[in-house]
Amino acid sequence: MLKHFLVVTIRNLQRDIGYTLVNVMGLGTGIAVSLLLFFWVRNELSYDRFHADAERIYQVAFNFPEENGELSTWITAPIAFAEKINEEIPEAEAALSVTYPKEISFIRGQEPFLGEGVYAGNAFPDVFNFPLLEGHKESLFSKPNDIVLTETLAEKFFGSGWRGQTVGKTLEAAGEESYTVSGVMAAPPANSTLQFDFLLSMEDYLRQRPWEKHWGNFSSRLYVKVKPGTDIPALENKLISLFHNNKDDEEDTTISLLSFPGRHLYSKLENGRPVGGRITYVRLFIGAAAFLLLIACINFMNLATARATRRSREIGVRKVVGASRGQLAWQFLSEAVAIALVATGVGIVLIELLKGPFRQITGTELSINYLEPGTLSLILGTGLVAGLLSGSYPAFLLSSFRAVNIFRGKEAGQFSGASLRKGLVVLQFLLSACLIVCAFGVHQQVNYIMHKNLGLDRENVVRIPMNGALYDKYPNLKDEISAIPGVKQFAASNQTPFMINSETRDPVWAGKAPDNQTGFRVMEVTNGFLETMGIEIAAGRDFSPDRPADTLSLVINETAARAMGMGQPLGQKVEFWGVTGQIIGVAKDFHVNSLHSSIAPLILYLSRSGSSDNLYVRTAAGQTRQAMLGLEALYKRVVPDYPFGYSFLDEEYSRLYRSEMAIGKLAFYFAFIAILLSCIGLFGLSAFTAARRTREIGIRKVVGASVANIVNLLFKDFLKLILIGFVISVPVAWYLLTAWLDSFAYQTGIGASMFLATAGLMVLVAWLAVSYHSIRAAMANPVEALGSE
Amino acid sequence: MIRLRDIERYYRNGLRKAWVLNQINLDIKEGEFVTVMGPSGAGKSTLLNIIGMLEEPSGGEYFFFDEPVHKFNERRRSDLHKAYMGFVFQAYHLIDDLTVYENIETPLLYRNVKGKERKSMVAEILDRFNIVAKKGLFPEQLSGGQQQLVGVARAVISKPRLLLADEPTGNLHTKQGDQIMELFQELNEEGVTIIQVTHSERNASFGTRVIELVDGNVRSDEQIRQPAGQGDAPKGVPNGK
Repeated sequence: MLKHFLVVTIRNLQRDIGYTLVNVMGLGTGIAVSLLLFFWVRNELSYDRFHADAERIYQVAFNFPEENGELSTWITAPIAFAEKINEEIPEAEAALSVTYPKEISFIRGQEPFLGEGVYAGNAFPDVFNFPLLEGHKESLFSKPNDIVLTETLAEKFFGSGWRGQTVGKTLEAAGEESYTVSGVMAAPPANSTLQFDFLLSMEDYLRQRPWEKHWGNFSSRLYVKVKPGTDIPALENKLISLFHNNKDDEEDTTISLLSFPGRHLYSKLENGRPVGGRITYVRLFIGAAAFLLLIACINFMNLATARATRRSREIGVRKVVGASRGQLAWQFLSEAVAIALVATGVGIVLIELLKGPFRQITGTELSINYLEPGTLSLILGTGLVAGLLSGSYPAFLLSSFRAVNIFRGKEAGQFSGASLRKGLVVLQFLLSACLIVCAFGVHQQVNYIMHKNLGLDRENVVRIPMNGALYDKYPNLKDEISAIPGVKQFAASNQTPFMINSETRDPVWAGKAPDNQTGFRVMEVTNGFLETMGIEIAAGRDFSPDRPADTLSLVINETAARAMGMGQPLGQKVEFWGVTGQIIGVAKDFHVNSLHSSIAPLILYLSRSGSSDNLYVRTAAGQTRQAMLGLEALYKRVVPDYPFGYSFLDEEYSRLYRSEMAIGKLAFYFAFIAILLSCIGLFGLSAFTAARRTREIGIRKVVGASVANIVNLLFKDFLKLILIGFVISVPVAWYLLTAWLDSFAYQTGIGASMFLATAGLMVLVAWLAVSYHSIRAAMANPVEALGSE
Repeated sequence: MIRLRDIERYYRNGLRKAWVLNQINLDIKEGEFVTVMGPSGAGKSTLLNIIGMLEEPSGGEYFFFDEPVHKFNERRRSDLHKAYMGFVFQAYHLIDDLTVYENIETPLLYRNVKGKERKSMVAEILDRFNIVAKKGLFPEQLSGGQQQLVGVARAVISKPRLLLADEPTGNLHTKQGDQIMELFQELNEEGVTIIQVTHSERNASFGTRVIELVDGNVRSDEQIRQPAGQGDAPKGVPNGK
């Protein structure tokens, strides 16, 4: 029976090759795009799940009550805490601290190589599963400066034959440090949130930085693997008591245990509990995938039911020779599934073509192994769902035809699917319109961000980290740097001015209210920094190299002046971090953080050493290349043990909005595919409409209608559906876009122009889709049309 | 075999009813070859469709082998239809996408006949109807007569006890028509009950009984010959009225 169905299907499709192509390509595109999104989602969901018993690993977070009653959560902890947990908490199988990544410049081979690694507690191999390829688990950190390399780094330093060549070898590093290789680990996979080139021991870390042993220092991440069946809330209470036993202040501090594999998707915390994060994008992508698949399936349903007119005779005959309704439904369903599976094949080809661009946009490399059971079942599952979804309605409808009516020519002419078909077209254009409006909106916001005047000039500025000897030598190198052709201005600072993260609530000034908890951003600068960055002074003056006393001076921004409630800030004294400084100037407000948040109060102080962590150089427009050559030569001479690293501020700025730009691009592509698929559907439907109305068109032409009249006549019906879809989409798109824009403190409005452009675009594209068949029908010789009756 | 009591069929047209069949009472015994005649619009096809269970009467009782069909649901009716009946159409109604062989095979598929048996049944009927050479062709490659031959072959492959034919020769010229009628007669002699609707007196003469319908009523009902196996009337010679 199945073979028989298949034969019929194939012959049927051959007969209507245009219909087949439209269907298979449309469905294939829908399947490809949704599969791609599903693969991305699967990749996101797989983060950190590869560790054995990943669900038993937790990250320790501290919650500090704020004035407004909310909790401020820190996902860092004192390093000493880990050891105490291991000693005193039986529920903890193992606890360890892991620092944030630190850079080491290795000197091996021609050029120094900057690697990024972490210091971690000894329990690292017990908690996390990065297979050890060389060395022994027990003796990884038996001596000071033992280092565990990842496979990647081992290959880089010891060549492809690194196996057996690594353990015991010495690696030289900048600052006359040296490390002994004690093992090699598999490199962290892409879906690991812990990324490192090498591992060092926490003991070394504490030996070099004894102050990190203090319980008041929250600088590292703390992970706990709990025993099976542990009561987490009870453990949280136990941990906080243990914490208070060792650090007596801050009685109302609490601890949250955050699921480690859950952190990737739920990074946003509110009152100590995960409330969202990347999961929003995951949901958005699942929604988009479902949207696009649905649009493609609707095409299929519409074309299949429209085509029913042609197949109704076959249905009638089959019924008369004994087919039951179930058997007929089964036939049409299996036909749909067969087409969907072919479309899935087309989809796989498309996935291979789209993989590259998709990686470029999302930054996610999707490695798809088609033979892996999970992937295979996802692909076949999607194909099957598409087939069943798109085939079920036609199967239901077609099998319900009554043979007698078909032979009387009744059902064929005016069967009941028409209104549903219209509804589905409306739905398609509704979804398309939503996506187009959102794409416009996101694009406009990204555009706004890119052209926003930040209050500083980010063009032609390069940032160079002051590694090694450069930090100390910088004050004496100023003349040399000025002499480099192309260098206009330069200065140093510990942070990039539009990404200032260090914050303090310590400042005290005359008249400060006792309950004032304002957080101030703080930045260390050297002379000439404001000028280099193009930040303007609103009142008073900038720091000056001619006044040595300026090391005790402060420059604040306008927001800070308001936050301190100072009508006349110049000359006022502010004390923080044990030093009292005098305000000498007020800088005009510039954006100290991403546009997601409003401008924060800021205090600038002058570096006492005359140097800082980063050098910022403004180059003369068009002479950047020249300036970079000079800077590199200088750098290599002063710091031979570090590679020359730099980045341009405008690029750093763009990188801040990487995910917004990715969303913008994806929204554009989704919108494009949605409207393309919808129009493919219209193209097919218009063919059937034209065919069904051949006689009417013929008569109209005979009585004098022009080609344009006829085309408009046929388009009018579709236009109505498109506009209905558009009108319904307006509030939906408005809601979605507003929700997204709300995450920005600075945003463009949602203009009527976006909606008008969407409507115009849809009508235009739809007209193009419909016009081909309409014009053909309108140009046909009416005699032929009427003669066939 | 068939007992119709007060069968009626009407269509609602606003508040008025348009009657197609009016209180039809009819008995047809197994082995008969009945011809239903009458002017266009007399309700011939509707009667045939009701007997063939493709259409439901608006009222009345229909017993098929003493089973009360009028009380059955669609599924049971379609089971009965499937088990006992074959249908031949004026316009042949072959499936364009299937070859001669596959068209004939289709009813067997819906009756879950096994592959091997199916093959031999189709081969037998192809042989009997002399269309073995055409088995790989598609309907559009055949003449009208040949298409109807395939149509009949398809109708009888499942060995129905009742063959219903709606103007089976309407689209054929006389010679082709006679060929089909001779085939019908042959089938009837083998025991298949046949009911055909036709305009042609000539076709009617092949049967054993003629019923004339006018405006939904039976105007005349006449036995023109002894049905096969029930009498000794000469075979194959139409004796007219």
